[in-house]
Amino acid sequence: MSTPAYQWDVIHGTIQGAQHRRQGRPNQDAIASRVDGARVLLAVSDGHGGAVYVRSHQGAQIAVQTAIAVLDELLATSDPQARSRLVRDHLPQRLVREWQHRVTEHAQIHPWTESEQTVLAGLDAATRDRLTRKSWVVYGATLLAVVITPEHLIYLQLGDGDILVVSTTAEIYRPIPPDPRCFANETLSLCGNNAWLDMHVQVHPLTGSGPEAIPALIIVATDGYKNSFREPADFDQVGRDLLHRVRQEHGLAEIKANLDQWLTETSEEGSGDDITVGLICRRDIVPQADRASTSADASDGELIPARAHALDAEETEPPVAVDEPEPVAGAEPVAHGADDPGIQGTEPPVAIGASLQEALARPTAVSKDDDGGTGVDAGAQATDPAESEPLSEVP
Amino acid sequence: MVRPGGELATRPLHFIWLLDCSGSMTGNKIGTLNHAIREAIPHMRRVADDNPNASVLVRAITFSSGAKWHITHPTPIDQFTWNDVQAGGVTDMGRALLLVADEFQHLGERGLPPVLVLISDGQPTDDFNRGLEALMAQPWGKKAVRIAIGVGQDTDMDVLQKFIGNPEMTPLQANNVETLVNYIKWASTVVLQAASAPPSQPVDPTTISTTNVPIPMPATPDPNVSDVW
Repeated sequence: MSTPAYQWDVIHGTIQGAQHRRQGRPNQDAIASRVDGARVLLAVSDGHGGAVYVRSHQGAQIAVQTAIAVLDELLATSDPQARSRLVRDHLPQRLVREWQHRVTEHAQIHPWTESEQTVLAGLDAATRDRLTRKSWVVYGATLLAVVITPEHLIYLQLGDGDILVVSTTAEIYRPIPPDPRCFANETLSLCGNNAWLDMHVQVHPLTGSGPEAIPALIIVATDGYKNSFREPADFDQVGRDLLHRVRQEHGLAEIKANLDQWLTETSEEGSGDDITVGLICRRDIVPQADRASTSADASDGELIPARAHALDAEETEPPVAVDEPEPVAGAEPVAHGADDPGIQGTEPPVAIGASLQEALARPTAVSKDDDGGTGVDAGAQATDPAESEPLSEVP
Repeated sequence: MVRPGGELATRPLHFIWLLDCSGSMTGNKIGTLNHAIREAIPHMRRVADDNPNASVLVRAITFSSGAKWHITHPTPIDQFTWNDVQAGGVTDMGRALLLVADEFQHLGERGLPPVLVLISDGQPTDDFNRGLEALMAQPWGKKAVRIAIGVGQDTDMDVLQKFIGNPEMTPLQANNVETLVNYIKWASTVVLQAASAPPSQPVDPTTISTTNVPIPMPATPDPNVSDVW
């Protein structure tokens, strides 16, 4: 049975946490997305707050830009089976390596600032030496991403944060269970040694699935959001409330208009942490009249409407929406759509090292999970380590 | 429009005093301890006021011949008062750690790392290792900020070092009233501040920090004040 290609909308919100505001520290979260018809890319990152991680806010920006670029390359693989194989076998390595490559390049272009030097001068000699050899560590950040194609839903997570899926009947589930290592204030990270081994990836088929099996909403959030609620059920309620809201007239537009204010209030009365949320909404659950209004609302770049046609190789790059508190000097700028009057710039060429396509010939090993999806912890893959370059060192 | 989601709450920060009330603490050691903790309360309130996203909840365990909760209920710092502890008996430190371990089983995941401040002037008379193992078997036991203050030169500092479990952080030794008061104030303010807003960091042990909550150490004791303990 073939499944109609569902259309999607994406809304972003990101706010500086109450605690960071008091301390005069930047919002260390970042979010970026690309929506094109039935295809969605969304990436969220949370930079570490520790004093050593002086560029983690930039590391988070580079993380979401890297994810969009690498995942976009993935979508260019037209064969769904080949795409799944790429995800399962090579995506974690590619993402980590590319992020390390980009932040190392950023570090080379941008020497330490005076304030960064002050922080680093306070470290012991061994730590300073380590940072000299592994400059990407100071950019440390998490990464969460969701990819939707007509054939698959792909969830990816490295570190803390939450991906919540809301069904059309308001049931909530987490495609990637919390990693027990992300506990207290510690998290897995893109800057960890062999970070790709810690990345969780889930691939769920959409082909053949009925409308009830297709998520109504997918919420991707940094950990400051969940940590603000008294109980896990209070956080799950976000999913149900948002589902209820998007089904109301003007619901999606109202969420978009109020999201940052809600998140600010949530941080103040809750965790105090930065909070970033990406909301992916299935377009057919939105009232008919609103589908037009949300499209018209896209001029500020936060809400990118789905296009009616599919992405193909000949097409110009679709728009990317990025909530970017401050530009990352030296990092590849992620431009918003040139056809968007409220946004400047054009999509730069995405320059990535070895193509994912090159990896196609490699073997694959996948296990079926209970949902019929396939789950991969990168560390459990059958890829011969000897075939992979060590990810703990950037070439 | 109404904000989505259920009830919001700041993150709980459990602060627990673990106090040696053995017979050797009798006299001005226990007197200083009571005085210093009472004096620390307003300082703790100020730290809590500066960190409104942390809910500081204070309790105390005493150990001598056995161990018990001196203040059982996790008490918000703005309601916290101090009832003096009394000295007498042996040093069942291990049992105190068992009490903490049991309590940590019930702490939710969203809290801030708890703070344990262990103050002792002797060496354990019970199975300290069993208590420590039980504590470290709990996820929050491993991630708790563990501070230890030895009172006087008869303290078994090796045991306190084992309790801390971090070679980069050593137990403090207070050999006079002034130093003990200063260290208790430090634990109540600097340590509480650090635990109230712990920065996120990678779990990877090969990265930078050996502890999940870096703690600035206190100033060294005034050399002009003579040791009396």
